[in-house]
Parts: sequence; structure tokens; C-alpha cells
Amino acid sequence: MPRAALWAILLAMAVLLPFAADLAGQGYYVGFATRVAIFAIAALSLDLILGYGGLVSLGHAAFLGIGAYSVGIWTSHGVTAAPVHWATALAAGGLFALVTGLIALRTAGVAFIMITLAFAQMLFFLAVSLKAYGGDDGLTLWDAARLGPLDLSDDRTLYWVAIAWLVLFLLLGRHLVASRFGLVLQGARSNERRMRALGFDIRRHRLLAYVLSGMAASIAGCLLAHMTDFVSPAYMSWQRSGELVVMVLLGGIGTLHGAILGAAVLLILEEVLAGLTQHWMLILGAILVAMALVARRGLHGLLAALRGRR
Amino acid sequence: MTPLLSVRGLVRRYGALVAVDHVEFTVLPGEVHAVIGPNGAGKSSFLALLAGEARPDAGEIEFAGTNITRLPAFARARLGIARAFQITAVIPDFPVLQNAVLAVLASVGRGFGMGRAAMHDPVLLDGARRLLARVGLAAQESRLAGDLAHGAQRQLELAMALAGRPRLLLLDEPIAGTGPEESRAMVALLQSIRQAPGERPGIVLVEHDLEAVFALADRITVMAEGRVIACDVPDRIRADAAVRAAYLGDDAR
Amino acid sequence: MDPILLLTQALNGLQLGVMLFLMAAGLTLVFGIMGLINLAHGSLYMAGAYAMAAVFAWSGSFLAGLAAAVAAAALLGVAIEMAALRLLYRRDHLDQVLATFGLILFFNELARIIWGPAAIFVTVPAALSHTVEILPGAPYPAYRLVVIAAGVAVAAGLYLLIARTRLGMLIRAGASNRTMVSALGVDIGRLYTAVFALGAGLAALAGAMAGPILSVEPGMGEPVLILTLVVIVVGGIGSIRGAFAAALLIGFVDTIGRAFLPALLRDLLAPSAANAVGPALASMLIYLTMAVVLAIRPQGLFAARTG
Repeated sequence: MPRAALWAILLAMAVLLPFAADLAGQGYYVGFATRVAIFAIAALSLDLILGYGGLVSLGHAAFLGIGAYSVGIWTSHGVTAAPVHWATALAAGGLFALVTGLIALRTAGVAFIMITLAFAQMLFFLAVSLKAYGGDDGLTLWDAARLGPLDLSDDRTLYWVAIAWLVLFLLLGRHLVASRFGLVLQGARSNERRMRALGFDIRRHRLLAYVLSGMAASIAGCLLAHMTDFVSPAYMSWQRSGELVVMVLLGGIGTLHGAILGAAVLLILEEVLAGLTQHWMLILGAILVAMALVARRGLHGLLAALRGRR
Repeated sequence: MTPLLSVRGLVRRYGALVAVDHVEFTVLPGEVHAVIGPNGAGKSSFLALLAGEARPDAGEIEFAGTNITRLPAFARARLGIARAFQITAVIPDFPVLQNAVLAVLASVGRGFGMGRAAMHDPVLLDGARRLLARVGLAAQESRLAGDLAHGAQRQLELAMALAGRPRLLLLDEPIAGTGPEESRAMVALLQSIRQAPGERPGIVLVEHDLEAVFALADRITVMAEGRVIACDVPDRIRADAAVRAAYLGDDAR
Repeated sequence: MDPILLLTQALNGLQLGVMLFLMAAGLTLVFGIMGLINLAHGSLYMAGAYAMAAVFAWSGSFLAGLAAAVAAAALLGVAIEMAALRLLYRRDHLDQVLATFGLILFFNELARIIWGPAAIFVTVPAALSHTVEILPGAPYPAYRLVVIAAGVAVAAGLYLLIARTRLGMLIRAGASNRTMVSALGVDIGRLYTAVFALGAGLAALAGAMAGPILSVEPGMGEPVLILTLVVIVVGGIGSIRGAFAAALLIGFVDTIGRAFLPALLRDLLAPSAANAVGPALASMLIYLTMAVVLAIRPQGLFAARTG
């Protein structure tokens, strides 16, 4: 089957999912699918820097928090226009990425991991100390965000909006990694010294990738707040950042669509395990350890191996 | 003739060790200036200083009339100083063609190029294929660079260094470690580069293979313990007693 | 500024600093020598705290609790190292992050299963439950003074171990050149396991001593882990000396900042603004310190020589 047809079918299925859920009388799954789409955006954005840039960020949930608080703070002041929320999130997320990236990108490797984690933690504590916006307890949003005539508190509307963002970011991402910029980013991942010797100022490329990635993840944060009508520092906990890394690895690093697969698989896995036992984190933890030791290229790699490629 | 590259009083210390000790050095346009010396003589450190990968503790480096002592590596590359590494440094998980495209991209594009597809761009692809043809790798363009034989990787690396039509090439042991066949091919390739009309880059050649050095070099500088102990044309270096004592030892013919 | 308050806060800072050093020493050694980033280091700290709480409650002896904590965590460390982590030394940092993140989830849930989700409170041992008048009118809890003394003593012991003993020589050699250590005929696998156990024991000591100061609960290791990562980055990854200096720096900055920054801002800003900004800024202070250090010295204060 040609690839374009495959993508078209997948897209049609994604768009029609709410109707299928209705027919089956399982409206719950629309909300779940929205969660998957939202985390897919966040994981996809992380894959740009992690998979293509070779930059392991363990603080990506900070951007989810920036997006969520953009919605929360505007809404608490009576501004419910989603485009305003989104524009604010894009600007704030980009700015935070720019400032922290300038410092974090002075280092590499393991130091970069620790610094991104630390900056996310800084933002976490900042949110905790923002008593005016709920502090530790978080902030409940009483007014639904609106997109023109659309009400984003409607499950289906929000789902389609999330899918639209996801498709947009996937298309942008695919275009970006195939561009000259993407080639340089990937070259620097493999051999930094060679790239410098060729005359590339790779820190600028990495910084730009980091900023773009942060902006996309901030949109995921907005959507998360639209969905839960609630924002709290917990959105940017370091566990959340860890989960995003797991999603990227699970689906197959450096593939973009793998991040979507990974987000779906991890969320479904969590759901299934939580249905089995209250102590599902024990099992999930063991699975992650086993995955790191054995299945190194994620599900994408497994699928590729099964199909006999590579 | 004004030198293309001139180095004055260059010093680099690593703790108590003086790796590069007040080195004076010039390269004329079109000249092959070889640097030889025993292991630990400071040759690689010296080359790293020229490339901008390390900062000198003292001294000046001037390239084509510009003082480049404080410039970082990528900025020196943009001025026309290209580099091939001792440990082969291609992008191993890219196909050969994609490596060459990157090198061409480095010489043509400045902005980020986010809107332009890289592997469908005729300017980049044509340039890359010309480079590969020049070093004899055209038939292997779709193999992963990491899968190439050692000698072929060195040729690819040289091709990448040539992409920007550099005015100065810094070559760190391009021949050492290759088989006799590959070694002859590389010497021939280097000959063709220095004689290519219109380009004639200056070349700094750090190399252990003395046969190749005496075949290629216009001048030879001998380093030992960070210092320059001799600098002259090949015939006189061959005859120099101090050099024989310090370096060539009993192996000298 | 009140000098007695300042002294008290300085001691609090010192106490946080030595605790962070106990954590950071193991983490930075494991990274410097084995090249492993172990996010589950906080789990060993938690293991120490729980082992301490259990044995102290059972035996009534604080010292027995401490010994049990260190021994249990060292054993646990050896088990983790041999079962999983040693397979990851030469791997990508990404695999290490994934595996050790998985271990954190695993151990936090395990603690929840064994001891329940609620926090356990450990009492200060009776002999140390009084306060000491360090200056006239300045009482300070005896237990905290002992923690500081113990931390400093362990730091000194660690210094002697690394500077004077055969194991220490191998550790130093291992940090700079692995192949040379193998060439000396040392079983490098055993050395790695020993280093890991040492780091685990130190983390457990920190966790056990923190028990009476903080609460013992699942997930208690991670806030400390993140502070420790800041310490290691600021100190220079792989450097014990750097870890010591940075641990004290971060300990002081955090404690003093929280104690005095809000008051200081009240002198400078309007009260409402100061009340809003003060706590926020105080909680961000160590991260800002890290940012400043890295902006000036990306390799940290004491960069370990790496090839």
C-alpha cells in the first residue's frame, strides 16, 4: 500500500473516531484519545531535539506547565479566547526555551540532562509559590476556552482541535527534519566536531530546535488545560518529563510518528495496568528496565525487525 | 610571497606539560608543509590550535591577513580552513552522498534553511556528486559512511574538506593506518589536489608515513617535545643530523 | 540582620550541605568512573531512610538503625548493579535514563506496598533530643549538630580513602583511565561493584540521618536527587572536591535564601509585591545559582579531567 494512502486512512480513522465511540456507546474513549493526541504532540516535539538533535532533555514537562498556566492565568482573568492562550504559550514557551537553552547548550551529554531537569524543577517550584494562582493546590478553570464560535469544553470539539494541532506539528516536523536545517541537526548528533570543522555553528541550530520544540510542547500544555479545566504544578513534575522520554523511546526515537505511537502505547499500557492492580507502577517500572536492557530501538525497531528491514 | 598562514610564538600547556612550545610556522599559498615528529611531539595539539578546537595560551595565528587567534573552529572553517581528522570523522550513520551534501551545504548555505528540502536540492546534490567523483567514491554514494573501508572513509573525509574550496587544508595523518594500495591512492589524490588549476590550497600535512611525506612536501617541520627542532626542504631534513638523532633514529635511510 | 538567626541558618545550611555531599559523592563517583547517570540514586537514599525507620523502631537503637540502613542499601546497590546497571555502563545515556527511571517507579511503588503511602515519622534519639546553646541565647538541636559532625567526618574519611588507600588509588585511576586499571590486573567489574556499593552506602547514610528531620515516605528520594544533580553539575561532573564545594554552596544558598530573601525584598519592594515575589525567588535561587555558574564555567567549578 502506498504510504500516502496509509496516512490518509489513518487520518480518516482518527477524525471519525468520535462517531465510532458514540456508536459503541463508549464516549469515554474520546477523552482518552484526546489525551493520547495531546501527549503525542508533546512527545513529537521532544523527539525533534532528542531523536534528531541528540539532546536528552529530562525537563520537557516544563513546557506542558507553561502552556497550561498560559490558559489558567488568562482564564482566571476572564480571557477565554483560545488563540490568546495559544499565542501566549508559544511566546512564553519559546522564551523559556531560549533562555534556558542558551545556558544548557553550553554543556552537552549528561550535564544537559541534569540541567534541563533542574530548570524544569525551578519552574515547578515557581508555580508552587504562585499563591495567586493556586500554588501547590492548582487552579480550577471555571470558564471554558472558546475558539471563535466553538466551545472547547465539548469533548469532540477539543478532540478535533487536538488532532488538528497534532497533524500540523507532524507535517511541520517532517518538513523540518528533511530540510537543510534538519540535516545539520542530525549531522551534529552524530559528529559534532566534524560539523564544526565544516563551518557549522551548531549551537545556533540546536538552540533553534530547542525553542521550536518548546513552543510545540507548550501548545500540548494548553490543550491539556483545556481538557482537564485544571492546572497545577504537577503538570511539570519530573516524572511527567520522564514519561515523555519513555514515550519517545517506546515508539522509536528519531522517527516523529514513533512518538505518536509511543504516547498511545504508554497511555494504554498505564490504563491497562491500572485496571489490573493498584500497584501498576511496579510493573511499569520493571517493563521500562527490561526495555532499556533488551529492546533498544523501541516498538518501531521491533516492528521494523519483524518486517525484516535493516 | 606573503604567507597564507603564519604562526608566531604559539604556546599551549596542559597542566605542567607544554604540548606546544613557542612554535613559529608558515604556509605559503599552494605549499605542502609537512609536520613530522615522534609520538607526543605535539603535532596533533598544534593542528588543533590551527583549527580552533583549542585555544593557545600565548602566540598569534594569522590567516590570509586576518588574525584568527581567537576565532572558534566553525568561524575559521568559514574563512577557508578545512580539516581532516586523525580518527576518521565522517557522519557514520549517514549515507556517503548525505555526508557530501552536508559538506556542500556548509559551503553554500548560511541561514538555517528550514524551508528548503536538503536531499532534493539539485545544487547540493550535483555539488556532492562532483566531490564524490573527484575522490573516486561515486559508485558508493548510497552506502552508509560507517560501513566503508577505512581508506574509503579517509577519501570521503577529504572530499568533505574540499567542498568549500578551502584555501588551507589541515590534514591529520590521512595515510597512516591505510593499506599500501589505499596509501598510494591517497598520495595520488593529494598530488592532484595540490596541482588542481585555480585551487592550489596550502596544505599542512601531519603524517607518520615518511615515504608519503617526502613525496608530497615542499617543506618539512620537525617537532619534538612541543618545539620545532628543524624546518627545511625535504632533502636537507633527510640530511639533518639533529633530526636523525631526535626522530629518524636508526630507521633513517 | 539578627546575628543569632544568621548563625542558626548558617548551621542549617551546613547541615543541608553535608547531606547533599553524602548524596553527591556517590553519584559523581559512579558517573566519573563508570560513566553511568543513575537517577535511582534517590531510591537508595529512600531505602536507607526506611531501613533506619524499621530497625530503629524494632530495636530501639539509633546506631543499629544507621548500621542497618547503610548495610541494607549497600547490598541493594550491589544487587541492582549486578542485575541491571552493569549492562548499561557502555551504553547511551538515554538507555541509562530509561532504566534508572524505571527503577525509581519500581522502588517507590515497592515502598508503598511494604510501608504504605503515608509518611512515617522517625523520632530523634532520646540522647540527642535536647538543644545545645551554641552561643548565649542561641539554642540549636543537638541532633542536627551531630548530623553535621557525622557528615564532615564522613567527608574527611572519604578524602582519606581516596587519597591514601589502594581502593582509592584504583578509583582515581579508574576515573581517568579505565584501560590502565584493567592493565594493572585489577578485576574492573569488582571495582565497579565496590564503588557502587560505597555510593549506595553514603546515600543511605544521608537518608537515614534525614529520617528524623524530614518525613519518610515513598518518593522522598527524588527532590533530594534533583538537588544533588544541581550540586554535581555546579561542582563539575566526576569531581569529589567539586561535589563538596558545591554541596556546601547550594546548602547555604538555599537555606539562607529562604530565610532572608523575603525579608530583604520587603525592604526593597512594596509589601504585597515582596510577599508574592519573595518565596518564588527564594525557591528558584539555587537554580539561578546553577545558571550563573554554568554561564561562567560550563564545565562546573572543579572540572574533572576527561578525555
